[in-house]
Amino acid sequence: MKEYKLIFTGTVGAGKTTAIAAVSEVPPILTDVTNNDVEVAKATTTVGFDYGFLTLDNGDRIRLFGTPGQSRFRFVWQIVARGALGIIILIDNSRAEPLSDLSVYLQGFAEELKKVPCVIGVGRTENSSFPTIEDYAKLLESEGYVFPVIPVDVRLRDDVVLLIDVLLSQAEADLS
Amino acid sequence: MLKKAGANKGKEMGSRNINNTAQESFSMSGNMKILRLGVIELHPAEEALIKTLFRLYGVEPEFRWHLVTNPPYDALLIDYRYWPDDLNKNTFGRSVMKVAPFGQETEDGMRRPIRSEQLVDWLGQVQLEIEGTRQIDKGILSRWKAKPQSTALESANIGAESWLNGAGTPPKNNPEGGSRKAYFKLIRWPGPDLIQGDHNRMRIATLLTRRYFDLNSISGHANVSFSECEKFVVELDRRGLLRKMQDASPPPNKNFLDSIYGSESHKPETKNETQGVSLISRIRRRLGI
Repeated sequence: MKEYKLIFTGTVGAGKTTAIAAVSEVPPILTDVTNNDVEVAKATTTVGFDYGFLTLDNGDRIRLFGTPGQSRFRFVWQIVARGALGIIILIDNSRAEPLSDLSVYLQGFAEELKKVPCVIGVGRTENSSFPTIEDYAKLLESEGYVFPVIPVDVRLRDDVVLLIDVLLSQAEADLS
Repeated sequence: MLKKAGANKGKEMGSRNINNTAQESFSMSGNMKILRLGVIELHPAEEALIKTLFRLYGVEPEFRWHLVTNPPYDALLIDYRYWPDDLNKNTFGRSVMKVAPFGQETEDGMRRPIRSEQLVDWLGQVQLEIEGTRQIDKGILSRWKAKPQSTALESANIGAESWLNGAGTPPKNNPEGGSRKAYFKLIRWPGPDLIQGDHNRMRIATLLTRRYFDLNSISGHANVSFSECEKFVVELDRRGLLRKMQDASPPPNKNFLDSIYGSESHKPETKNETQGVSLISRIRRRLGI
């Protein structure tokens, strides 16, 4: 049996754990602790890795890793992302500086992003329409990346599946 | 009469254009580097289509046509409503073309919707005539005329029919095999107004984020009809979101394989590729995609 990794990263409260729960065949194993970050309206936050998994029909397993959101755990990001199939960056559009948030993750995963597929899922766009999807795309372009940017609601399984599908399509493009 | 076009500025210009064309464009001289196509009273979408086609075909060095707004012209497309009643179709030879009413068959003009192949074929004939009078390399032009589809879009057949009406245009086999092809890659992810929440468009755009594809390959990989692909690609190009490249398809990005199987892998690459494809299929099955 082989194991592969899919990485869910992004800001605190962006919905990494929720996204994993939406597709994992088991409830995600959580490493949340009480949140002591007063700027984040959230009772708990992830300090280690959350993970769920999917078992494929040949027995191989896709492990779904959620990285800790806070940038002080940046050193962990690089470790967990090594050898990943792809990286899903979730951004909360209702935060103060969502574009700056994205920059943090682009820098934090810069090495892996040179190789593996990546998709940006932007949440809470229904209440916060700015920045726009085009703003994210322009930021990515300015940083030398062309990644799909998709508005999502990670509480919906279909939206999370779409993000994974987009990653797989990128992988297919690489293989063809 | 052409005076019908005199009711507004554009129409006046159109009237002048024909006269100027007769005097200037049809008595062209010297070593003009580009060929100038003018249009009179075509729909803005048709003008935009022609511009886009010219940009796409423009990667072909033998294609020298430019859409211009001012005379002199080497060729003119005129909407049927402004076609002078007393103008014989042969008055200006092949260089002036009437554009027929939408969907109407015509023997002496161009059908609507304007299709890339008929436009390019006509321009090729005009070019041949012009170049013939100038004694310039006819061989190249003949080749161009004979193979209008083997140009920038690799038999892409981007036409008004598919663009304006969404009608299907089947992919054409490339009779030359090794002819020149145009490949496209995204510069930037398109906004929701272009994606339109359409998963096919999302899939096409996603493929184009990773590497250069020609239209046939996009269609095959995205499992989306050729006409749908070309329609979307034209829209992307109009927004300046595509980088184009001619002839050689860049090699696939193998970093993905290196990432999951390790760059030091001793497995043959093809085996890795097969495993990669198989893995992707399995994940999709598991997720019910």
